Amino acid sequence: MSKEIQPPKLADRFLEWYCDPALLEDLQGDFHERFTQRLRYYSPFKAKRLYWWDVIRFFKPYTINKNKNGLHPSAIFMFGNYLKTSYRGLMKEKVNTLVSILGLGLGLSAFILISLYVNDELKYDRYLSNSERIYRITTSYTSETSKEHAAWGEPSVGPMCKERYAEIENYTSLVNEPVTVRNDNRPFANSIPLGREEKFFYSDTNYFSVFDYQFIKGSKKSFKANTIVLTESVARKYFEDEDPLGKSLGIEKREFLVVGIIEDLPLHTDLKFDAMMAISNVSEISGWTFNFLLFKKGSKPESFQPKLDRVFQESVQLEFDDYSTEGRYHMEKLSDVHFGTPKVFDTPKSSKTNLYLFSSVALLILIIAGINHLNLSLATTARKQSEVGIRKAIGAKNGEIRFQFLTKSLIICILSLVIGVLIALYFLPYLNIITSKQVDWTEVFSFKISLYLIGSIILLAIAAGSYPAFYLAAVKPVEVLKGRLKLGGKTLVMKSLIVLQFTISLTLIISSILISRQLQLLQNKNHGMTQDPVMLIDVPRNKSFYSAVNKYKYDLLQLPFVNATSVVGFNSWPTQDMDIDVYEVKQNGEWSLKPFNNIEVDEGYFETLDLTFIAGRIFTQEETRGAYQAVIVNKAFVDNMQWVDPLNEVVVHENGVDSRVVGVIDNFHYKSMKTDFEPILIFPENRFPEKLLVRIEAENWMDHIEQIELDWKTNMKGQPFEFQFLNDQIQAQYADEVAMRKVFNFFVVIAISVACLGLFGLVSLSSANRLKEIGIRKVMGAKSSQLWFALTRDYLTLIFIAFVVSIPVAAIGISSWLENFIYKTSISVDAFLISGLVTLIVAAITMSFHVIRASNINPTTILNHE
Amino acid sequence: MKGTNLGEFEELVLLAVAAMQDEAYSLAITEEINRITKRNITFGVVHSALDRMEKKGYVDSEMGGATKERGGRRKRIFKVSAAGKNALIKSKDQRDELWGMIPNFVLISNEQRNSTPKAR
Repeated sequence: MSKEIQPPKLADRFLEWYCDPALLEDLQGDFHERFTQRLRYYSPFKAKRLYWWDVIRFFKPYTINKNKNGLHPSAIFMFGNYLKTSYRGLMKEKVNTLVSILGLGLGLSAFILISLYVNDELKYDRYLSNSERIYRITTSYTSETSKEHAAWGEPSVGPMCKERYAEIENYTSLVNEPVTVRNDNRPFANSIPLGREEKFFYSDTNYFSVFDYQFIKGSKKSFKANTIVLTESVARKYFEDEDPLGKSLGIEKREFLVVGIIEDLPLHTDLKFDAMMAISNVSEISGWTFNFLLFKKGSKPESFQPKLDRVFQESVQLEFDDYSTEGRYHMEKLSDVHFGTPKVFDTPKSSKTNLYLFSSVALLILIIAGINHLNLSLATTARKQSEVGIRKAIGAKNGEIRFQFLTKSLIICILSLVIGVLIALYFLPYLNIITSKQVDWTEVFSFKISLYLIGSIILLAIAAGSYPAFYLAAVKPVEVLKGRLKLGGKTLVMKSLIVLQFTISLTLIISSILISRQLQLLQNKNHGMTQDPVMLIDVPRNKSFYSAVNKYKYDLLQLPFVNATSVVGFNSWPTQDMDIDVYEVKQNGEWSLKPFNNIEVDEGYFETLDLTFIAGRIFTQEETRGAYQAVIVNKAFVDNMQWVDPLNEVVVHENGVDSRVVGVIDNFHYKSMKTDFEPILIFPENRFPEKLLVRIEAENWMDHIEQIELDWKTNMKGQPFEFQFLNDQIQAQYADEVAMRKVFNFFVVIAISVACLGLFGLVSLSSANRLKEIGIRKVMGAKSSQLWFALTRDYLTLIFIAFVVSIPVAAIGISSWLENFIYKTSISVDAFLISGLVTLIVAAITMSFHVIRASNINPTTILNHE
Repeated sequence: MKGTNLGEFEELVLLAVAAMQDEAYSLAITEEINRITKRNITFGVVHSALDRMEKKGYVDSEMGGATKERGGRRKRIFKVSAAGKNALIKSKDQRDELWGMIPNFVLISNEQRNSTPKAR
C-alpha cells in the first residue's frame, strides 16, 4: 500500500531545479527514504507536507546550483546592498530620478485609465450565471439593392426552435415601447396618468427563466400573462413604502398584477429595463421583437446555425420569397452583443474603434515613458562604470550586475506606479464624464486590475532596465580600473529612441488635429434641415387621443413663436431607424419588388423640418387623412430608380395599394453624416402618431416651452408632457466621436509632456557634461544664442527627423480612419506644419531652461578647476 | 584560522561517521546521533555539517548502494579522511590530557558535596 504513495512530484521538480547536481542524487534519495519512513507513522498527506517542508528548508546557499543563469546565490543576499546603492544613486541624480518617475507615472496613469475603460467595457452582459448559454437571434435580409441586418426578428423563432431541437432549454421574446402608467381601473381615456415610461418591456412569460435575475420579492414562477415584475426603484416610484406585491398597475389599456421585485439592473447591460410585463402574445405589440434562446448545459450552440437556417427557411423565407428577398437568422452570444456590429433597431454598442484606438494610444504613451526611463539610465551608465568595475574586481558576476541594475529599474517603476495610480485616480471622474461611464475608483485595486498592473510594471522594469543592465554587465573591469573608460557606443541607440519618441508624439498630435477637424465638419455641416430648435413631444399611442392631438397641433400653430408643427408615425423623425417595407417599383424601366425605407408623416412635416422641394408639392390634408394615396420621395430614390419624370411615377405597396408620386425633395441627412443618403419613401399618415414635431423660434425658447406645456395641459387631460430637442438627438449620434476626440486630446497632452520631460532630463545631463565646453566657448566670445544653438542642435535635428518620419505614418493612419466617413476632411499640409512647429517650440522651451542656466555660469568658475 | 579545530558538533558527527563505517550516510548519521545523545538534531544541520567538513577535508565521500525506498537513488557514504582522523586524535589527546590532570575528588557529584558538613 505504502509503496504506491510517491513523494509530491512538484516538490521533487523544485528540488531538482535549485539543487547543485553534485548534491542532488543522495539528498533526494535521503528525502525519499525519510518519506517512506514517515509513511509508517503519519498519514500520506502529512508525509507529503513534511516532504515539501524538507525540500524548502534545504533551499540554502550551499545547496543552490551555482552555475545556473550566472546568478550567484549571493545576489539574493546582496539584495539589501543593491537597494541601498540604488537609493543613493537615485538621490544623487534627483532631476533624473524625478523626470523618470514623473514621466513613467504620467504614462502609467494613462495606461491605468485606459485599462479601466477597457475592463469596464468587457463586463457587459456577463454577470448572469447562464449568460454564456444565452444567444440572441437577429435577422438579415438582402435583395438586389439593399442589405440590412436587424437586431429584431419574428417572435415565432423561439417556440419553433424549442419544439424541434432538444438542445434548446428555453426562449424568450421581448419588445420595448414607451407606455403611460395609470393608477386606477377606470377606462383608459378617463383615467389619471401617473407617468410616462420609456424602459418598460413587454415579454412572454419565459423572460425570467432565460435571464436569471434574482428576485427580492416574489418569484419567477408567478410571472404569468398580465403580471409585471418591477425593479426596486420603479416599485418605490409608484408604491412608495407600500408592498407592491398583489397590487395592480394600469399600463396603457391593460392591467398588470405586480408579482415580483428585482434589484435595479446593473450598469453593464445594454438591455436595461425598469419593468417587465408578461403578455400572452407578444406579437400583439409588435410583429418584430428581440428574441433570445437559452441552450441546455453541455449542448453545442456553435453547431446550431444549420438548424436555425432550416427554421428560417420554413417560416420567414416563405414570406420573403414573394418579394425576391433572401434572409437568414443569425446567432449572437449575449456577451458578444455589446461588441458586435451595430444592426438596425439595435441596443447601444461599444465602439470597437475607440477601444482599439485608446488601447494603442495607452501603449504608445507607455513606450514613450519607458524610453525616457531607458535613455536617462543609459545616459548615466558612464558614471556607473567605475562602480561596476570595482564590484567585478572583488568578485561580482555578470548575472549579479544585471540583477543589481534591474533592481534599480524596478524601484523606479514601483515608485512611478504609485504616482501613476494617484494621477489616474485624480483624472478618473473626468474620464467618467467624457465617456459617460461610472467606473468606481476602487476598481483600480480590484484583483484583476492590480494583477495586470503589477505584471505590466515588472515587464516594464525588465524591458527598460535590461539594456543598461546588460551593457554594464559587459564592462571589462581591467579597462575601467586602468582608467580607459569607454563612454561612447550607445549614443546611436539613444538617438534613435528619441526619434521614436517624437515620432509617436508628433503622430498623435497630427492625428488629434485632424480628428478634431473631421468632427467639426460632421457637426457643423448642414444636415439639409432647419437649424431652428425642433421639439419632439411624446404623443400617447392611443386612438382615443387622435382628435385631441390634432386640436393641440392646430392650437400650437396659433402661437406666434411656433413656425410649424407635424404629427409623425413610427420612427419617422431624423436620427431614427426607419421602418422597411417591400414595394413594387419601376427601376430603369423594369418593374420589380424591393424593400425600401419608409416614414409616415402629415402635411406639416416638410415645413417643420424646412425640407427643400425639387419638384411637386406637399401632401394635402385629405391625403394625410387617408382619402387619397400619395407618396413623396427624396432625390436619392429618384436617382436609384433612374426616373426621368418622377411626378408621373407610381409606387405599389406589397399589399397592392398604389401611391402616386406627388413630390420630390432634396436629399437631407435623416441619419448621421457618417452614412450616405438613402432612398426614402414618405407616406401621408397621421393615424398612428408617435411624436409631435414643433419648430419654434430660437429666441427665448425657454418661455416658449412653458407656453407649449400649458397648452398641452388644457388639451391632453393630464397626460405626461415629455419632449426632447431634435438637435440634441442629432448631436448624440456623434457622441462616440466627441468622446474620442476629448479622450484623444487628453492623452496627446500626456504624450507630449512625457516626451518633453525626457528631453528635459537628457539636456540637463548633457549640459552638465559639457560645462567645460561651454566655459571655453564663452571665453572665446560666444553669445548666448550661439551657445543655445550649440547645445540644442543635436536634439532639434532629431526632432526634425521624427517630424519627417511621422508625416507618412500619421497620413496613413488618419486616412484609414477617415475611410469610415462619407464626408472627409482634407488631410491638409497645415495640420502637419502646425504640429511640427508646436513640438519644436515646446521642445526648445524645455531645453532652454538648462541652456540658459549653463550659459549664465561664469566661465572662470568652471575652468578654474584645472 | 577558523576550521583548523573541530567544533563540538562537528566532532560528534565525525565520530558517528567513523563508528558507522559503511552505513555512514547523512540520514542514518542523523538518526544515530539523535539515538545516542537523546537530542533532536535536524537532518538539515547534519547534512550541512557534513558538507562543510567535506570542504575542509575531514571527510571523503563516495556514492554507495541504492535502495528501492530511496526511489532508486544512491547513498553518499562518508569516510573519515586522514586529516579527519588526525583532528579526531588530536581532539581526543587534548581531552585525555585534561582528564588526566583532574584530581579524583573534583568528580564527586554535587549531591555528595552538598551532604558533607560545611567546614568553616
